[in-house]
Amino acid sequence: MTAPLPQDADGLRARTRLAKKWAYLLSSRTFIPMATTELERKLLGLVEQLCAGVTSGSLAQRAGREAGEALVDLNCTTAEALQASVEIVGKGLMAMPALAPPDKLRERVVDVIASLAAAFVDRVRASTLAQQEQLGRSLYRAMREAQVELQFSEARLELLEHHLSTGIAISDLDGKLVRSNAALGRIVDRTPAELAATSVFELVHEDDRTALRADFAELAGGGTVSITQPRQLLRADGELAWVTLTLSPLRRSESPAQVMVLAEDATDVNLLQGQLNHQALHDVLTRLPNRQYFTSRLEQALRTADPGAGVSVFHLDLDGFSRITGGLGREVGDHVLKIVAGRLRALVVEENAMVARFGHDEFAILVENTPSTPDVVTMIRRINDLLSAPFHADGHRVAVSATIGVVHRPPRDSTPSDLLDSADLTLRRARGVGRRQWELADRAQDGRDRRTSSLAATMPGAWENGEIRVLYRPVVRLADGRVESADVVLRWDHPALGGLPHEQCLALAEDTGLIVPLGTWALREACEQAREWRREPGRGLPVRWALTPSQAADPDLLGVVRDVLSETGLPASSLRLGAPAQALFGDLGEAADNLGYLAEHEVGVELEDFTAAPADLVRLVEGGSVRAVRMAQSSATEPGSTVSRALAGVLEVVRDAGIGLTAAGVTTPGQARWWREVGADTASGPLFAPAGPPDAITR
Amino acid sequence: MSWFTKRERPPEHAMSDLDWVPEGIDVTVPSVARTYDYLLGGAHNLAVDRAMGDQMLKVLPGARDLVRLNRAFLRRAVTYLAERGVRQFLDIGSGIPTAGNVHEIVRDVARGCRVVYVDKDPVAVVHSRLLLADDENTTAVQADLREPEDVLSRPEVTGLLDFDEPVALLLLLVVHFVRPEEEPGGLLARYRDRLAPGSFMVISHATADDRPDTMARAADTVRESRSKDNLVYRTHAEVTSLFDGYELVPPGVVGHALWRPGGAGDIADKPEDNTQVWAGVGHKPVTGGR
Repeated sequence: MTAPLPQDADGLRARTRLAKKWAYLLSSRTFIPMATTELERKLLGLVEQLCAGVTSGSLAQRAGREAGEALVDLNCTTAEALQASVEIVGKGLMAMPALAPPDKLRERVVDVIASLAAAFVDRVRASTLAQQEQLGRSLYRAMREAQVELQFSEARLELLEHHLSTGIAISDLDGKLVRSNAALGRIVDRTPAELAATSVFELVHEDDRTALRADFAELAGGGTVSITQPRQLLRADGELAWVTLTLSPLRRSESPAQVMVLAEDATDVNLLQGQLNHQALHDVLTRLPNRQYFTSRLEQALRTADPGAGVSVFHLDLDGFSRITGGLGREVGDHVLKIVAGRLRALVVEENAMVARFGHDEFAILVENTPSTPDVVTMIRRINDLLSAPFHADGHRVAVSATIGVVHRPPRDSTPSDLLDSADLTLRRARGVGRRQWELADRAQDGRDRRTSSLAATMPGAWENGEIRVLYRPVVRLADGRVESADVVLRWDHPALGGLPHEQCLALAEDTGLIVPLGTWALREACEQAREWRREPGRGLPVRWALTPSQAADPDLLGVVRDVLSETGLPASSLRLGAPAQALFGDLGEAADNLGYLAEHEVGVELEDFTAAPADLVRLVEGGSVRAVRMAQSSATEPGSTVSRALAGVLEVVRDAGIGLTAAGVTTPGQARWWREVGADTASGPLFAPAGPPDAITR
Repeated sequence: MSWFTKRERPPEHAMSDLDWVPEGIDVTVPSVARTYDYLLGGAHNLAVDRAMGDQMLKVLPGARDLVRLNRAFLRRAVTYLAERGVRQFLDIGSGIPTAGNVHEIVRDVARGCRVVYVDKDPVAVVHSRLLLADDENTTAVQADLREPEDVLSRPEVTGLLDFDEPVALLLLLVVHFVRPEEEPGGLLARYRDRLAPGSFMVISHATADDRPDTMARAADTVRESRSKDNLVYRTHAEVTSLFDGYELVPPGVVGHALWRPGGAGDIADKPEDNTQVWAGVGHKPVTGGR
């Protein structure tokens, strides 16, 4: 830029004015990153260059180009900026006549402006291309970084796979597995190929499928919250894998949603839980399942057992086990229990069976029957054979036997508790028969037993409430029909069941052990009543109480009778005690001794329920302590029967021995007559009078 | 071997080559930063950005002026701060670094100024890094204004800026993308608590106070584009309250063209164009602050 510009003040003022106006126009149209004054200074420089170009002519194009490029560098890149520039600069230069000769001015200004515009366009184009290329590079780099980040993420996930045991899979909304990791394969014991061909629903246990489908439906319906539930997965080896399953929705624009499935193996946790369960469900001593475990297995077995074969439950009670612990010590007892447990387990090792220990010396066996399962009788025999083989325990030779209640093939709709109750009742019935006995459950019998049990349980309360009374049944002299004595009987005025008769009261009381105090009470009541009767002139009715077996064997019986007699002042001869043959002639000794002693002290001892069996007859006649025998009215004692004729002979032997005979349960005059003929002294029964309160008998 | 036993994508996912591209790099979605560049006359933009810019110009013919005036306000404010001795600048929502960026402005005032640009647009940040490669006093970070603790703990930020010394926090045309439920007041307080006394905060914020209908249409334009950002206009009082804890530098919160204008180009011809953005500079007091 060598051409000198006119240095006149007017020229400078005009150029400055042009620059200021240009700056204003540009800065109000486009952002120029500099202060106004600086812009004006820069533009003044451009104006002076352009003026010089016009003046020199040869520099016109170059000056124009440089101004055009400078504009773009100032960030004036819009068409609007170019238009404004062309307009204001063109007009401004044309208004400066000093720049060039009049015939050249217009041509040179056009030259300058055309070059400015051309350079502007070139510069804008170049700048735009450069910026676009920069942007393209930045986009590429940003994507590249994102890709690297993605690869890094994948690498991290890959690492996770090696260090986590969590199963990870992605499924579509139908549960079909799209991807899965090796850990999932390990959890469900399947190969990648097997997993790829399966769905989440096929992997979960059927019990969980419905719930899982509901979970998927929720996610498919737009649910955004992860769902975590404990679930059971089916392993290829048939075992179950306990997992915590988390389902999370995966959504991407323009892609169908998927589900991320996380399976955390919870089997270890469940194993630990299982161990705790084991402790809760097993007997510590024998390691056998306990009653609770047995019950739940029973429930399952009732549902799943072959309906044709059914199940069998054996409820065992070791006979006399308390004698083993009492006599040989607790340790021997424990040892015996372990031996028994082992033997029972060995017994059913080939069956689908469970052996459990229920209580102290009670065991139970559940057998899910198959066609090859031995029948009940064979099973019982095997149990007895196994248990009776003697073994050594702490230097002692021990053998055990068991009493067994059996429930065989109960109905499928039985509940476990019903079934166990039935087994228990059956066992108790068997125990009532003796040692080493067994019985099959009988549902009707069960019902009766069950009612009896509940009645027996409420009896003490009823006694306390005065529901149980002592009544007197007249015993009549057959010769003249006069009341000779009074049978003492009990009656339970049950609020719901009505009056329960004497025999039932005794049976119930015997069941629960209530009989001893109840019997003592009845005895005392009766003796007090007898004393009352003695106070009336001409009366003196003895009372008669039939002892039950356990009362007869009660070591305190003598003391009780003595106390009652002394307290009431009743002569011993006014008390008669009936005793069963078993008590009188049994091996137990104690009862017989008791009764012999009482007889010596003038208490009338009588034999109850005399059957006229030869053995009894011999003992009766030889014993000498029995005052009388009582026979119940029966078919044998029906007048005219062949048996009755034979019986008459037997009774003659009794009479000859000086032993009295009394008949019970007489209902017709013919029966009464027969008894008189065979030598009976007295009789009782419906023919004469029912049992009633004391005053009824005295009338 | 991948952690997936089955590597190949299912067929329905083969449709897009770019489905792994994170938000902000998807070239089919307009970017606020690139549209801003377009309106400023730059060419760092794509067809989708220009389409949005053109649509914006239709509903708001003064849009070019808006961005130009905002850029001019930035220049004046930053120059003012540099002259008041501030040497550290944290520019959040910096966008595409076109002409007249903060580091260029302050370079003309003082040596040794340090500038950190923050934007959530990954392209803008990568672009900034390209341009700033040789400048050790300037860097760019991809982060979100709405996560102050993240922004303030980035190594690029803590490495370049000393928060024991005054910092100028620049928030130009960015706070109006923070929704009310994101509690802009509480958000800015978290920044304020980290700034040393003597620090400054600069805000420019779009408003509909003067032209509710026009501005509503402008907001609709942004909303209808697939951009994730939506404009939330705030009143003069609301913008003023964003400066809680700061003392406003005179003239306070005013139209961005009216904040200490330096020449004809700083002010638009149409008066309403001068006040469609509220702008202000706050000073965190040296005593009684923190």
